[in-house]
Amino acid sequence: MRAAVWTLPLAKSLDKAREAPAREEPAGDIAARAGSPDVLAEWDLVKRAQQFDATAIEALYQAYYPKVYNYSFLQMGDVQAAEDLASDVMLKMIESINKYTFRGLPFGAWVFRIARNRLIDLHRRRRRRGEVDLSETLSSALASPQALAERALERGQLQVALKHLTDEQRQVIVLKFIEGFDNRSVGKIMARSEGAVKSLQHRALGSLRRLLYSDRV
Amino acid sequence: MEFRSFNSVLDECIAALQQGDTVDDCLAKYPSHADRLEPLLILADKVRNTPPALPRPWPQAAAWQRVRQRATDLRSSPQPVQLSFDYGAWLRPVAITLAVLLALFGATGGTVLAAQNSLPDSPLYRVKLATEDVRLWFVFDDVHKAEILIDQSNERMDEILQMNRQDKPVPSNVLSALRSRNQRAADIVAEHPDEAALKTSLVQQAEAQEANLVLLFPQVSESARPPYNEALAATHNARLPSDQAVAGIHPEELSEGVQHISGIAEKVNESIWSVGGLEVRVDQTTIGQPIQNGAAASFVVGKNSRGQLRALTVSATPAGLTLGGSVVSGQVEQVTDQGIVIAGQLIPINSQTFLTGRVKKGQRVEVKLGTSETGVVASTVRSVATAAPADDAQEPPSQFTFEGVIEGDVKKPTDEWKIGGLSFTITPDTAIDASAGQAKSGARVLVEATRQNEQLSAHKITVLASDAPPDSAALIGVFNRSRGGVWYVAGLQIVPPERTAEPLEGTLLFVDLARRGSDLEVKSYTRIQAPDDTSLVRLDVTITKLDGAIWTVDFGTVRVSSTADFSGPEETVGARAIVWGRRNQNGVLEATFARVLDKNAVVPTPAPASPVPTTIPAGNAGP
Repeated sequence: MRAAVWTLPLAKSLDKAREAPAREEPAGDIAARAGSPDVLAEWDLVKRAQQFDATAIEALYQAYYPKVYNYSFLQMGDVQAAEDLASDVMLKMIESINKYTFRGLPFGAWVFRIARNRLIDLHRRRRRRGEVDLSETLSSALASPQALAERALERGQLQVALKHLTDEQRQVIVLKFIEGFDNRSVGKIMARSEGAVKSLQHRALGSLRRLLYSDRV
Repeated sequence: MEFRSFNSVLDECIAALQQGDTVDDCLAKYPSHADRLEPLLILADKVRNTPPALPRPWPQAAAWQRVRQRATDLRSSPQPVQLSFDYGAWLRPVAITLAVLLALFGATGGTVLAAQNSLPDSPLYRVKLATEDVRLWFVFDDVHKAEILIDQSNERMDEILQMNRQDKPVPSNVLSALRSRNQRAADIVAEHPDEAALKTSLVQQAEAQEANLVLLFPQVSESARPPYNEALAATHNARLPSDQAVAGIHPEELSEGVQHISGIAEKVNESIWSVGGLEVRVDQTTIGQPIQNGAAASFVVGKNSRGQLRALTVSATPAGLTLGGSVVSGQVEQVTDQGIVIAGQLIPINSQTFLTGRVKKGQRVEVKLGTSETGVVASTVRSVATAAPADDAQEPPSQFTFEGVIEGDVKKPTDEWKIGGLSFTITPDTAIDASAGQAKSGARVLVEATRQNEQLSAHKITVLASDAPPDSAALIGVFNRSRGGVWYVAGLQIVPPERTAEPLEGTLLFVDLARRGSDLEVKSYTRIQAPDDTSLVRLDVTITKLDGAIWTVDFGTVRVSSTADFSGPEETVGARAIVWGRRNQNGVLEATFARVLDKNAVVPTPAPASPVPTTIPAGNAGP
């Protein structure tokens, strides 16, 4: 008898499939994050800040001012505008901190929701006044092509590329990859569902790739 | 286990990267997505490692002074926070949104948040849709609005697929929402002809959605048909060129169903083509590559209330024997991240695979194979139980395969075909494969059907290349019982010769039949599968190579030894066959029963020589 194994010619072998490790739980498990020590420790800090404890307020300020500044700078490309916005958001944070209630999300999601709304408002007012987008100048100055680092992008190039994304694509790239939020938090900040965030993330990476590497493909 | 969309796979890999996995780890885990994943993951990793913009120290210190002072003020005189004008300005749209939602649904902010991940069968789903609608009120840029609509439409399709995978009926609300989003996005795109990227994005998404909606058709209940037809029409029309006056498909053109028809396409007049003997209207709303007169082609057609067929899409059938198109039916032995294992073989599943019902170990499924860039994949997976919904009938449906000759004219629209003396109802989604010859009176065909409440419903009719006598027929089905000298197989009555040994109830039989007047008489029969045997797998395949007992079918090899029961014409390369078998101890798929269906190779007939080939005016393919 001639033995012949029934195989799918272009598919992986069964044995290989059996060797594949069991799928791990998604890293961004929401329940786990809600109860993570970092998030809970921050909630303790926030509770103290709600009592206007100076040390707690300073700790939150030191943690979030640089993040909000970075977020604003990547969105607007203007150092001074980013500083103003970061300062403004910090003030709003402290003025509204008693309204914050812990629902398992990182405090940062709430802070960035303020930042995003401030940014939208700022753009709207600028448009009404017919102001020139300050990022134009900076973006052009930074647009000279340079070799990308092996493990990172040069910030100027990233910023130029971000400018050509839609607002929501830009938000998802910055919030997810630069600021390190999980999908649930990004969804909360942007008022979108987690499914929409996944979809946006895919589209945003695709667009960013085309923008950054269009001369290479 | 639930198979996930590419978006979900990408998301899982990104999360894994953040936890310390490497890009290669993810690619190894999802080899079928590797090509698409790799550039995106590398880019995500690079973006993540981009150094942050650091604030200048003195503005940071100055801002801290302001914050500290404000905190001191608040500490010394805690009072309700006064919103500044600016704060109120950004809060206003949010407040309006909440007010509208509260007015409409009495929903709280928490309800709105909870609704974001609800599915169409949830009471909160209305809140989710309303929230999305309200959100669009505050988007004044048309292009951005269209992008959001395209996103929302994508989410509707994900919800539909998720419902289908959970074996839940797809309600009309999500279909209506899909229709409205696609229609609105298409309207905006039509008003902005210079936004090529937006049009491309809409067309590509609509193409994938249309393919899924067509596959979804059998799962749509009668009550959800009108919104389904509207959703399919709007999705199809979104793909049509917006720069010319193309009216688009009207939902009424789909009112009686959506079918797959393949066969030789021959031009009858300006807009009517004969496809395997059936008349199909082809016009500017038909999307696909131009097809030559006389060439083999596959169509997806809509049927209107007058029974007329109108082509939605057309694709040329590749010449020669190709991979894919086969069907594997059997019990799922294992479910992995890569796919499902049946009879010891892994059948890959990717994000394009259309899954109906939960795929789990031990379940019997019917897998239609297709091809992708990485090779053979499952294009559809349906659980056998859900392949024929039971409605509220008392009698459970019986599936069977019948072979016989078409009697009477089927060229004109009709809901009933007479085949081998039996009357088969043509359902709204009956597929017709006429690639081996025209579907006409006297043609021998194979019918995949269900019998329920005395009605025989044809799911697929395949024209065979056969020279079997017209009064001969064949039946594959489960033996029910014997009563008064009559056998009941899949509920059909057949007459055995006297003193014929009776099979056990529940045995799967192949029965060779002869027509005697209105009776179907048993000439011989073969036991294919014992009542309690679940180890056999059924393959509906095309033979692509023969090497002694080893048949290479269009996705693998199977051994058909002399011990296997065999029927039909002699095997030949290019012929189609139905094979039952199981994996033996040596890992070989060993046939226990094989029936060859065609007496000769069934390959697309080459186009006739013509100086100016006539083509179907179907130049509306996407960019």
